[in-house]
Amino acid sequence: MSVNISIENVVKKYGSNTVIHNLTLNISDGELFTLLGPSGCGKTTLLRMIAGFNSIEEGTIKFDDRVINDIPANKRNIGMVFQNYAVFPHMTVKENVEYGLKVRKLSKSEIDKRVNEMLKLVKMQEFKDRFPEMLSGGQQQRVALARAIVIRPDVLLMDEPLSNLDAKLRIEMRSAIRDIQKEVGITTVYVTHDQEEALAISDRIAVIKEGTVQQVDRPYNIYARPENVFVATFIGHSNLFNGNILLKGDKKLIQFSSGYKIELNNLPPDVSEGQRVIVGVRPEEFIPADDGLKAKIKKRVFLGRYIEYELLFPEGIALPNQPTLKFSQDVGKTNIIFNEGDVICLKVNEEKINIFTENGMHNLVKDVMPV
Amino acid sequence: MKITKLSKWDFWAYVTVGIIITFMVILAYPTFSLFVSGFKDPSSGLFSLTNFIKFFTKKYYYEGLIHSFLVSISVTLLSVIIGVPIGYFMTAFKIRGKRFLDILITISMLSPPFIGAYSWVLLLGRNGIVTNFFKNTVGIETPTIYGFIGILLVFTFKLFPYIYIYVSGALKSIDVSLSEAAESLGSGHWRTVLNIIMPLILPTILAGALLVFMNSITDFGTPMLIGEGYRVMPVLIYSEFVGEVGGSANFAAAMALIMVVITAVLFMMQKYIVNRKSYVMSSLHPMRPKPITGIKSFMVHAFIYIVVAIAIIPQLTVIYTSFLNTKGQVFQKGFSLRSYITIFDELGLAIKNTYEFGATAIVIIIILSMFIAYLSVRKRSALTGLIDTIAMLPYVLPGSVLGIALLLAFNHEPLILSGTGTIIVMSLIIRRLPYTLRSSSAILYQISPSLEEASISLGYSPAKTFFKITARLMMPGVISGAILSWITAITELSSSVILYTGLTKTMSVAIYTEVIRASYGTAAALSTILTITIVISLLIFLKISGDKEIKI
Ligand SMILES: Nc1ncnc2c1ncn2[C@@H]1O[C@H](COP(=O)(O)OP(=O)(O)OP(=O)(O)O)[C@@H](O)[C@H]1O
Ligand SMILES: [Mg+2]
Repeated sequence: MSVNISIENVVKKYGSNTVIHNLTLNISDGELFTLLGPSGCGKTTLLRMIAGFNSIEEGTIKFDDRVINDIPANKRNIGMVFQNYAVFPHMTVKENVEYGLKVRKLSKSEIDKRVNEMLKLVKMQEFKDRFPEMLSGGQQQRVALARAIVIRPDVLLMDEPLSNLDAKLRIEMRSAIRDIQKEVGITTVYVTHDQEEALAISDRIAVIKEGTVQQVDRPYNIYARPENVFVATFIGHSNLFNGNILLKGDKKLIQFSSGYKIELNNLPPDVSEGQRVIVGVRPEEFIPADDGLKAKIKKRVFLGRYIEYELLFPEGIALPNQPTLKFSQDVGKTNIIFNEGDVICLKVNEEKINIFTENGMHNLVKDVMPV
Repeated sequence: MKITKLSKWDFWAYVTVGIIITFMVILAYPTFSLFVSGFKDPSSGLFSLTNFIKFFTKKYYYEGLIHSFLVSISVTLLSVIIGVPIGYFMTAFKIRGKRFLDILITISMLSPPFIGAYSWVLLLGRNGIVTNFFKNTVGIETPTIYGFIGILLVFTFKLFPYIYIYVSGALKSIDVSLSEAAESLGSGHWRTVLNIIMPLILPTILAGALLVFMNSITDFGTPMLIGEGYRVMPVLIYSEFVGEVGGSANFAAAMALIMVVITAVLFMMQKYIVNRKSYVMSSLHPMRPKPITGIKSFMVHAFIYIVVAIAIIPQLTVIYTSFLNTKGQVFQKGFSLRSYITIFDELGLAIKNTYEFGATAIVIIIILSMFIAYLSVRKRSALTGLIDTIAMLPYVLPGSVLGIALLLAFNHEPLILSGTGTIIVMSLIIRRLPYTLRSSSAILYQISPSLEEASISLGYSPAKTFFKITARLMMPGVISGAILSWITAITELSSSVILYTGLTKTMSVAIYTEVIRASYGTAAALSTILTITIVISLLIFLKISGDKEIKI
């Protein structure tokens, strides 16, 4: 039933414009795999190549060992859920769900059985005779999900299925999708540009930028150990600082340009003395202290559980051209609250911060805390 | 690395090729034949400009062109003068019986113009009811209705609805805050209308005016029936082509080509204006009709009701006339169903033909429209672009021109169709395709492509998906367009009158020939049947489209 998807050296071109560059990904059987990236990076394009709605210019896509490049979309046995639901407006909920079964020449009783099971699974059995115009967005999306899964597809594809729903419903539906996906155990490719949604729902995430994969990993790892500066700043927020490596015996130190030094024990052995690096510090990885990096508080925003401070560092400490530099303070764990204009000293959490090569392309720190 | 393509020979590729072949046969080939014929010297058979030189040097002919322009310019001006105020009044003010008036206006717009012409002859003609009344009772000779004046009268009251519909549509898209702002700045009501609203709807008026111009310059029935010797182009073309004495198909074809040039220019101007006028905003607060009272209300109502009455008089006249008692061709005292009995006895075939040809054409029109709409909206390519362009041709081929083109193309090997019902059905398809095609494309734009993709991913082939999902969802738009195509197909005269033979006569043609031989009772009975069919179709249209008005 469910399959392993291998995407090998795939290229997509629109005219002379290459949208997907030589992309390779392996999506395991039964996994909920998310394509995440900024708008226009090619998520939808890649998904539609898997679905068979976009041609594949180069490379192959395989379901298990079967190359599907030349199989037309209607023969690929794929379930698809669309951003705008795409529920057939001239059919009832039940008719929508049984639509895909009818073409599969199943017996009437088998169809009824499967439809009822499915409607129960998505909690829509009481609406089965309604027309879509009388359903809310969330309900329509449940119908769309049921319709896609009921055919027992090899692969389930979802393109921003929640982006037309309001914030609260989005959270509710994403856990419903996750539960249902796990229950039927179907290989799923999920597209979103909402990073929180991606982190919450996925088994693994591929972060894509301009048609190339930046990192493929489990949500926690992507957040904790982003592969490069792009991922570090795209997923969550990262403050970036100039730094260089000092070797003292077997000790490896990072020195900020202000002179502040920290010792790291998770750097690889092949770093060299004086090597320039970029230090990535997430807002929650700062710790107020008596010494460390000096910063002035430019702005304070109270966000309930957190207080977010916008920081100003002396010239040359942080990388130029960053939109904002942030420090966030967990309200539950602190009793000092700073004011706008205060000058404070911040240390960094050595175990959590990331060290990137000077060009920002790789993370030198590889270890990840087990979760 | 293997390069793969999904666009192989699928269902839509076959449809594309099928449609291109169809168009080549029924449209491109006849148009081409017309060209060849128009540039052929009738005596020597060689290619030359003889026909065109003859046209522009002989007063008898080029006068026809001047007449056509005179008529169309006058009609256009009059239609604007009548249509714009009605459009404004009906949108800005609460008018009693607006819904009913709208239906009457639509009926008069959709009824064939030759019925209008013929019923004005019945009323004001040499032996007309009103003429006789004034002559016998009052002793006054009424001015003649034949010629220029008559053509003007018929066209104006038949075509002003185009302006009305365009203008009221445009007014509804103007945000009321705009005119309120002007009035709050101290601009009086009429000054606001003149300074603010008029400039905004001017492009719309222009677009409507071109439509009126195009309709009046290409119509054949009206000038033929009421023009009496006032020669305009379609009449010249017709008599040159079918004329027993000294007619020349080549010369007729040349004149037809001149018409095509004119209509093509008009069509492109119209399209240009329609495309540009999009700056008229879509409004959040459309103009709401305001109540009016007193003398203003009286004047406005009087104006509207008089215009609509004049517009609808022809339909009432023919219905009334159809029930008059007749003996032979002469009206007798009292009422009877004799005219109806006569037509069912003698012209039953024409009635049958009308519905049969109409229905056949509509079925084919629906199929073609849905496929073409799908190709041009969903499958853009050079080929579908070509189809789209060819599908425009009917707009610039006046009926009589198309009739000639079809005859020239299909009265010899390899395909002899002259004198058959097929050739008439063909002309109806070509002439009336645009209505259905346009409404089919319009509705397709509102159907999300992901519905089709959902169906395909669920295992239905693109062809099955089209029939199960797309076609089904397109239906309301297709049907409302098809009803317009149907109404105009059963009332088609200008091409049928060139293509018909005894066995393929239609009601429109029969009405025309009956009027020519002064058998007014039977003509009226036939017209009544047509009018009733139109009204019923229109009511179905209104029910289906849910819209309160017709889009043209
Ligand atoms: N039919 C097309 N023709 C030409 N270019 C296209 C076409 N479809 C997409 N593109 C281009 O391909 C790139 C990737 O588009 P795609 O829709 O895959 O982005 P996306 O990652 O899904 O973005 P979003 O988050 O906004 O949905 C974009 O630059 C887009 O402009
Ligand atoms: Mg997208």
